[in-house]
Amino acid sequence: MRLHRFVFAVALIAFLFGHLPAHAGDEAEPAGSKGGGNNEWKKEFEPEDDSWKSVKQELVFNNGGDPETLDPAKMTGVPEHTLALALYEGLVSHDPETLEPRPGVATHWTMSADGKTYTFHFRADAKWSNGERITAEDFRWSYFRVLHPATISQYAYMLDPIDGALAFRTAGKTDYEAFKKEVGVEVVDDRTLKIRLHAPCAYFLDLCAFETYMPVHRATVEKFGDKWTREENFVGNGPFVLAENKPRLRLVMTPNKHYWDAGFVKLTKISALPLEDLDQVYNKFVKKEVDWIKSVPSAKIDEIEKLDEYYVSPYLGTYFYRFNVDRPHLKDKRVRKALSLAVNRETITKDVMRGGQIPANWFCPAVAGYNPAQGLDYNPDEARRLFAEAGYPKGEGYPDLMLLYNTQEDHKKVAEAIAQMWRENLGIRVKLRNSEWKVYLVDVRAQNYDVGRAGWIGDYGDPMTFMDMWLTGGGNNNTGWGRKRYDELIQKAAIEFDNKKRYAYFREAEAMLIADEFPILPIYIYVNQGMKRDSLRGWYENYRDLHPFQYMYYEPEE
Amino acid sequence: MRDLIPFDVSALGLAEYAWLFLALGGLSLLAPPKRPRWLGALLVGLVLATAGFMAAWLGVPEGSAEPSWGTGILFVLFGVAVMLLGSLRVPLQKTLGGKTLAGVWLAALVLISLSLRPFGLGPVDDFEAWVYLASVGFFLAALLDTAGIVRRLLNRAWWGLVPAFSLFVWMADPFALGIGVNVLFATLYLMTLGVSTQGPELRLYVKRRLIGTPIVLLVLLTISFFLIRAAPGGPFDAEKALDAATQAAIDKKYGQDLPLPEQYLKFIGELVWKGDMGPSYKQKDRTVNEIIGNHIGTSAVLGGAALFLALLIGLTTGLISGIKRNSIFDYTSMSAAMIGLALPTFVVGPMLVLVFAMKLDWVPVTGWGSFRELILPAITLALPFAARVARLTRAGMLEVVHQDYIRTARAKGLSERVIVLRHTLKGALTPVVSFLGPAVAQMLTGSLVVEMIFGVPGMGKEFVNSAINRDYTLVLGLVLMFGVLLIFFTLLVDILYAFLDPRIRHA
Repeated sequence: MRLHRFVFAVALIAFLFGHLPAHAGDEAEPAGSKGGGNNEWKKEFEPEDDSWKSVKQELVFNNGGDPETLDPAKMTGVPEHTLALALYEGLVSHDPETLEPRPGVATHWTMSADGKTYTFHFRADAKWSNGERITAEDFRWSYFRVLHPATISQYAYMLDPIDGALAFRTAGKTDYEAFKKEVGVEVVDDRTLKIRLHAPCAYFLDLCAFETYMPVHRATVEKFGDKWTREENFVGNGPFVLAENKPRLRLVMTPNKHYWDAGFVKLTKISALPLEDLDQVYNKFVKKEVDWIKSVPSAKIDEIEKLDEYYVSPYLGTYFYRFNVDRPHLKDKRVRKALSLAVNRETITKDVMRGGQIPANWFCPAVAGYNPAQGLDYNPDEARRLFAEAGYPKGEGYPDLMLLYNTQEDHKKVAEAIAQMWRENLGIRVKLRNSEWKVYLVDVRAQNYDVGRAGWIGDYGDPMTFMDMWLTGGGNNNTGWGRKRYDELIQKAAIEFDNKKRYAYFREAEAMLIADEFPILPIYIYVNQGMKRDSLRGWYENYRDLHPFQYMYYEPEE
Repeated sequence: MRDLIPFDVSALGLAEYAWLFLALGGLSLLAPPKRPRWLGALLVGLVLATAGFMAAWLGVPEGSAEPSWGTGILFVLFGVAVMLLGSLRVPLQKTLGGKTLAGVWLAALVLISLSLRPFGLGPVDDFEAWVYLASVGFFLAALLDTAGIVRRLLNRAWWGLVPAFSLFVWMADPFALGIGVNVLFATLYLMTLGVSTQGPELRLYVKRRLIGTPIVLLVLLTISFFLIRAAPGGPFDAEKALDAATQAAIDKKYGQDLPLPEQYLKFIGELVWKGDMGPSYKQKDRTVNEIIGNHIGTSAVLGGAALFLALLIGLTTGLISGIKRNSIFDYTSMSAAMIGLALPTFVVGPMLVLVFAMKLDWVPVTGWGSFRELILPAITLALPFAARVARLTRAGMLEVVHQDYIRTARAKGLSERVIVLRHTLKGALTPVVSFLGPAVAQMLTGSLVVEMIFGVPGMGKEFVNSAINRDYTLVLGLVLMFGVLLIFFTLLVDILYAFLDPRIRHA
């Protein structure tokens, strides 16, 4: 386990080197793009020679599901996220390999000395797919729209770092004039946008590349309402535009000829399929009907693992169990510690999941150079000792433990394995209970469980997206656990800009979770698992499964 | 971000199976007394016991870590219980009276469910208990029906119960998802209310039925409206909790801030005056009308092709088997039909793909839009129906062959060909036609399994997903659509009867 973790941490640190733009105290220095308006950084992603021009540049991939919406303000799921990278572009974009912030609509930006104000300078040739110019006003209105209650943006909270956004949103305000006055988004001129934060936010540039921060074309939205994302009405600003959308069959995108770097885009057509039957998806890959699939059937993993096209890499997500600390038989932290010690995570990943998942006794994946705190390894003897100390020698007198998970084959297998470990190592009785997804959510929120299965996928590339979950009474906490010290640490980290100090706060907080108090039991770190044709280039593995299509192209097959 | 969609067939627990068997046993009590069929009952019991045992073996029931003989034996016991019930039905009904018997059975059922609770087998929480009670209410409604209409109709509803049951199993955790099931039960119950056996005055009858249809649909929608909203969780619930501001915005946009009765009136109003089912909660860029419009064509094409195939294969084999009964052909085709019935589509589909797409390269693995892509899904969908049709046709043939009018035809010296095609077949088709009514409605509205395997963008997946997602408006739209189709096709069947059976026409 140690080795795994080490490799993972090193890999991510390497990935994310220089991820964050600047440190507090730097004098309003241009951050991010060093070359200003030019595209020097893009050069390394150009093909080595022109041989690609002789090949058909049409990508068919399986997106794993139908997008619920193509409106960036309303997106919540992974399939939508993937498409957003093709159809829209924020102020900032992601480097396809390292994910560091790269110029998007903005060519360069500056940050004030206190880290609270960002000024974005737009490129002159940034255009909508209908040829109109993109202005700073477009962004301001788009952000207003995200906060507007009628939009129902479930991810509106992503804008909360912006000064006044949270207050505007929670008050349910609908007035654009009020937004201009109260929220820290300022149009300096057509090509300059100033964003004021209420506190320094180390990961703000990363947020600027997220879909909630992507712009929409006001006239189109106002004219067509909910129907503006139809292919006949669609206006976007990404490297591709929507050409055809047949729900549950296929979604086709073609190059946006008004995109500011249209010359760089090589694919001439992208078809996204929404297939969910993984066996069939794999069959399609084998028959070369698709060239990139984002998941593989776990029953065939032994066969697939051996293929060159298979890839697996860590993902920004953690699979874990919650302990309901309000239950009398889970109140004692020795009991929770014993339950944690009695779980052999390597058995789970190696024998149960078998998909390259990383066994984790820590909670937050190693993101943006963060090195997670050290949890406890499998130690059944110590677990037994602690359990006896807590008053239950050999599990005697311990009430039945109810383990809740949402109905799904993998969750069931993990739950059975862990129940078995607890039974064997601690001598307690575990009752498994599965609920359909929505019922499970209600039960978790009502804390109607003893131990509950959970998964958490980070929204942005910073430990905060994991750590703020366990604030006392937090909306996603649902364990009944809370400590003043923990809350303090997270609040300190929230306004700190020096990553060294921030990460020290996070580490101390995380240690409370996984080495001292145990409101949760981390099990493994999720992985991206899929298959990609070798001839498809410009596609890079990364920990957030982000694959901007503008870099992709086909090489001739050898 | 969203978690993966929960979907697991094998996760049915012991309690669910047990309760299901007992409930089905209870239902069978309502059937009118006929001559005892010991052998049939015995067979049904055995099949159920085996199925239960296999299920226990393959899918580990809740609460135990591995399959055990104990659970297997329990299932055998359940099977035997159902079997005994079936065989004791007639004598018991004669002594106690059908309704008293069913009442006693129901009481026992509730008692058993509740007494299993301490062992984690009965209703686990209030919601499940509520679902049990709703089901009990359903039975009570049947009991209180003094005119005997429901009892008679339940017999006919049996064909509907079969697809309902399949969906039931597919919905992974049936009693937690009791809502979907109850909607289905309600659909069936109410649908059958509207259907009655064919009478002498066909025209008047059709007229009456057409007048009754809107009322039936209204009742159906009303029940569905309140049931789906009573289910735990809402359409926007996800791993990440919504903050109060977003929740308030959602409630306002979808009118959820109004009192429920007001929401209901608004919904019915919009539907009646504008024909507008409103926006979908989950598919945010589309309205319910659009979603149904998008997918129903696909399902109709697939269902139509499958229907054609099913009739072609089923009628031909059934007819030949009926003529050459007890021949080699008869035995082989009827065995094949039995296998066709027994093999689930999720086995047949991938097998066809393996052979025709993977090995032979005749068709693409998945896709939709060309004739080539229609072949495999249509065959997969058609096979079980074809098997049914073949068996029904054969049985119909055997029954008609001994009728007086056939003997008369033969005595008149008609050729065998004319006898078969003009007289026998027509009579033999009656059971096929009665099966086809609900079957066509079902085929046209799609099959989740076939759609998943072949990537067909049809209605089947919408049915299941809308319930899972609590997409309130879409659920209601689909219930309405299915209700309309079912009424339409059963009506059509009744009219067809009159043409097939002269006794109905002239009575």
